[in-house]
Amino acid sequence: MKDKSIQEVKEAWEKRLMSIPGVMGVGISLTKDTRKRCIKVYANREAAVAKIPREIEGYPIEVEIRRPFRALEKKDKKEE
Amino acid sequence: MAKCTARDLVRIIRTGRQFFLQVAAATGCDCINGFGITMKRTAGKMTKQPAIVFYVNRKLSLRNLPVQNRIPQQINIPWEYAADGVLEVITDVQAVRFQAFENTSRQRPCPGGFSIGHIDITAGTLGCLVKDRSNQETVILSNNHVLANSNQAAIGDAIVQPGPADGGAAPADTIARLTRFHPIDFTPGASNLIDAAIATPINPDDVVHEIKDIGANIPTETRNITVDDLGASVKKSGRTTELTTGTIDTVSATVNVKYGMFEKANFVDQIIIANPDVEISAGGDSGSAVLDEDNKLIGLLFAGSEAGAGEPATAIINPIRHVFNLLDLETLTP
Repeated sequence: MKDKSIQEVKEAWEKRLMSIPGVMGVGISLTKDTRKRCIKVYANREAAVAKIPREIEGYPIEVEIRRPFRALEKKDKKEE
Repeated sequence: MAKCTARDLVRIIRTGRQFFLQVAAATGCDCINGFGITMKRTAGKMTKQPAIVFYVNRKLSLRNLPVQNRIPQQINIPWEYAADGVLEVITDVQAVRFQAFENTSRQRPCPGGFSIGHIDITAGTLGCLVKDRSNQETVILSNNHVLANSNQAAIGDAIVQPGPADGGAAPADTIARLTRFHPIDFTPGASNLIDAAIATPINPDDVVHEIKDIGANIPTETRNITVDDLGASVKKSGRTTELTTGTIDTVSATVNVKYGMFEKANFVDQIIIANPDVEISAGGDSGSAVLDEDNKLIGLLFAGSEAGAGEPATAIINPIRHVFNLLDLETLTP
């Protein structure tokens, strides 16, 4: 039995997860295989994935590797 | 009369545009989408006979088509290069509808889904029309970084449609003026809920309560997304990737988002949508309205990650309740 809601656990751990190098986001999602609620960590290619725990307080953590999150205006020519 | 060759046709199309527009007009239909040069098709097979093709919405059998609305099977054109001064041109008719307008084009009236932007930005997306509760006016909803140049704009600044990167310039393409924006706090340690702004159309007839490829009179309702909505289908119409669909992948998301080359802002309580199979959004889609299956407005797209090798694109959305609360907005009535 889990003592805390997933929301509480996410909030309690968010700062620590976000401070891992390369982590860009943390939220609540469903696991890919069994569609159970999980904590999702978005990280970029350079992330220290090994430092991300697999589970906290009974909730699984899934990591998604993504390109950096950015505001989606059309890119400037010089950024392309 | 001289039979015509493909080379004649190229010349005719170049110089005789007006003539074909007249033929099209003579049919009394506005269903002709264009014309070009082809080899005549008979019973679906291409022959070796060069012809002028008229592209129409729908082909009707001649029986069902009044004589005056038919495209003549042969047109005789006065033609100085032909031996007897007249050229016999065979026609062909094909049902082809073109994607009428790219989402980067200029539109009046302009629905949601098309390019828009503050005069000093590149381009983003006109999300949708909403109501300003302070004065009941109809306003354009998009992002702060689209309509207010990431806090840098002044109230009243010109908003052009299409956005500057798509050729929009003031005053010729000015569609609205910046009315209000919620500042983005870029201070390290600060957190944000929305990247949103509104602009008031200069002429109310230049915009329309509609979202491209989704429908008219949309949105008229909103829906608040919770953890129970994980997996629900959503869609958006945007400047760059146009109409795309995906599912709600993550809620209560805290994310760090890059702005331009140097700035970064933190957002909390965001929604992330994804689709492993298509590029759900890309640069230029900022400001798109995101809707559920019943066309209820769920949020405002403002950020994301672009697709890379093995990395699908993701789109990040401000929940609509935060946008409406902080900017004092509501939906328009049907």
